[in-house]
Amino acid sequence: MSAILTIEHLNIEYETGASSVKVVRDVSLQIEEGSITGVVGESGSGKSSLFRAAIGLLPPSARVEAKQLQFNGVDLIQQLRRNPRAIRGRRIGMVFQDATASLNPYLRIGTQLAESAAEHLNISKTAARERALDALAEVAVPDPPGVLRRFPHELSGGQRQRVAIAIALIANPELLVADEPTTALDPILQLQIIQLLKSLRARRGLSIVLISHDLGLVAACADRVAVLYAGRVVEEADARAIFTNPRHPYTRALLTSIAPLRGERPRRLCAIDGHPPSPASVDAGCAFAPRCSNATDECSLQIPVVESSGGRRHACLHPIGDRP
Amino acid sequence: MDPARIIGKMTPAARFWIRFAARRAARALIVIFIVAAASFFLLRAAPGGPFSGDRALPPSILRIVEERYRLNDPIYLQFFHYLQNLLRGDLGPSFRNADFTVQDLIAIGLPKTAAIGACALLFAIGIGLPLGVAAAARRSGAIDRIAGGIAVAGLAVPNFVLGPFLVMFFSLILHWFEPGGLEAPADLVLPAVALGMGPLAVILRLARAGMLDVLSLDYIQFARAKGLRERTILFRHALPGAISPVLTYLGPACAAILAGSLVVESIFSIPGIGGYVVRGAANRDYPLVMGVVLLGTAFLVIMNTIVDALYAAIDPRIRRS
Repeated sequence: MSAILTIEHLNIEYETGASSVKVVRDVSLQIEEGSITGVVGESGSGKSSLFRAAIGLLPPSARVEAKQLQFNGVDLIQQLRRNPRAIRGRRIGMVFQDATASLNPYLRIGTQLAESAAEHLNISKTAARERALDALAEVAVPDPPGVLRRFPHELSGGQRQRVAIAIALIANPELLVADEPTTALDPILQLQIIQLLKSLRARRGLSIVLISHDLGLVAACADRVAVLYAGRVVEEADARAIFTNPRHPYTRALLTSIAPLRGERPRRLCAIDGHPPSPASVDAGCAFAPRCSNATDECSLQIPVVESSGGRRHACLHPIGDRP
Repeated sequence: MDPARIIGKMTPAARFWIRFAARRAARALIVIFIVAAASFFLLRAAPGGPFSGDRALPPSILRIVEERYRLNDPIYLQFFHYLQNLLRGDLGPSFRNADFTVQDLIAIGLPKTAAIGACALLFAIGIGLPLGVAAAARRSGAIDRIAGGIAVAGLAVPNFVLGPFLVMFFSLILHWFEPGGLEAPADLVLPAVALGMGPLAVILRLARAGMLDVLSLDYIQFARAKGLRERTILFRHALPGAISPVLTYLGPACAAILAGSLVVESIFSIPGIGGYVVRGAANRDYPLVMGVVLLGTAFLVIMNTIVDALYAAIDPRIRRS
């Protein structure tokens, strides 16, 4: 497998008047072709900013710099400056948390689908309509011709998210970034959307980035997981390794704070003490140190180096040892 | 065929529009009746009468004249009589313009007032709306700054100042336009600008604010993520959501233009409807004032109905409820 998206030493800074706030710090990440990569973190961890930078959707006050930001051999930073529409929607599709707010309430579903197809594929109106019908069928929306004529408020929440995914995929992008795609949905619909994403990966070899704060959801479908804390990748590994054998104390803390849905007897849930740091206040040392049970004095003095071995990496001075 | 069965066979959209039209027509009749009653009794409550000018008529003639115009009947009978004629479309004779009915006078003045008003409204929308959209699209850019200046000037300078200024600059100094009268289409330009500048400023500000609101919404972010052109995002995706404050203002804008035409017509010496109201009110020419007031009312009711129909045409969620 080769990497479809390579991020190396990426930083994002928001300029607010005189000062500036760093929200993503020195992040390196590879998204493998045909994989589902879960990106996990609390709100404010920089997970959304990271991937919005990849399609140039950050507000003008954001400054992005990176040693490398490559998508299938294309230098994204240059390409986004020159012609962002050759990337957005065309090669990288994106869906957001709230499909109800993502769809334009004034336009019919058919219009919203077909305009993307017409924009990127350079095809006629009738061909764009055909393409729209296929796209709806692919995301398993019942009665595609009927849905084309409908307005967003006439669909259910789950259908709206399916339609949003169909719109994001209509120009056959190679990568889909799903930013909290199920947060606004109830658990049954969440599962259905996750199954849809998995089937899309299987059928068309789509690479998917699933941004979420919900580890359980990520566990249900991701091949690889990156955990972000305060703008840094603190741990990255295969999904199985993350869940059975976390090395970073933050990952372990996240795992003990989710309730098991079935199987073992419910245990006591652990909340992580304290609050995530504000991006403006992080400077020296490990950002998680104030909330970490393994922390020592040196943790608050030096930023931990990333250690990688055996296909996984973590950034911690006192990682959790392998379990017996 | 049974009307209930015809309605049952219609599409939901057709049913919506028929119900809309019926409800609006009923409401319009009520509004016109209330305005007619209020202005009828208010006019007569004002001191003096149509024939009590500086030079008093001899009592014998006054009696004949008052008899002729039924001014000696009890006031409720006069009102009843007026409504009866109104239903037949007869606005009555003008008291002070002998041999002219109110319809005759309106037929002479209305085309001029309507031409100026329509030009003023087109000017206000045609410049205000695109300028507001452009200002929002390039926030804090050069266009935004110019638009901000135009908006402040348009709101601050009243039409009775702007009108004479336009005459002085464009007629007396530059000689581009005639200073008054309404002989050629070019004579419409200055009055329309003087009349439309205020509404233009409001439309500009509403369009800019509406666009800025909508441009920060999720569905615009999603439209960007789809890779659409900026032009498509602005006009197809943002404009429908941004335009409703502008639509809301069109009713009041028509009222402002109607009221402003009184002033502007006198500045540019245009014999439109505005002059009738002023002279008619001073002379207690009851039927003439009533006729013009009811004409204005009907016009505003129709404009407001059109605005509400446009709302429903643009926003599918309104049609459902």
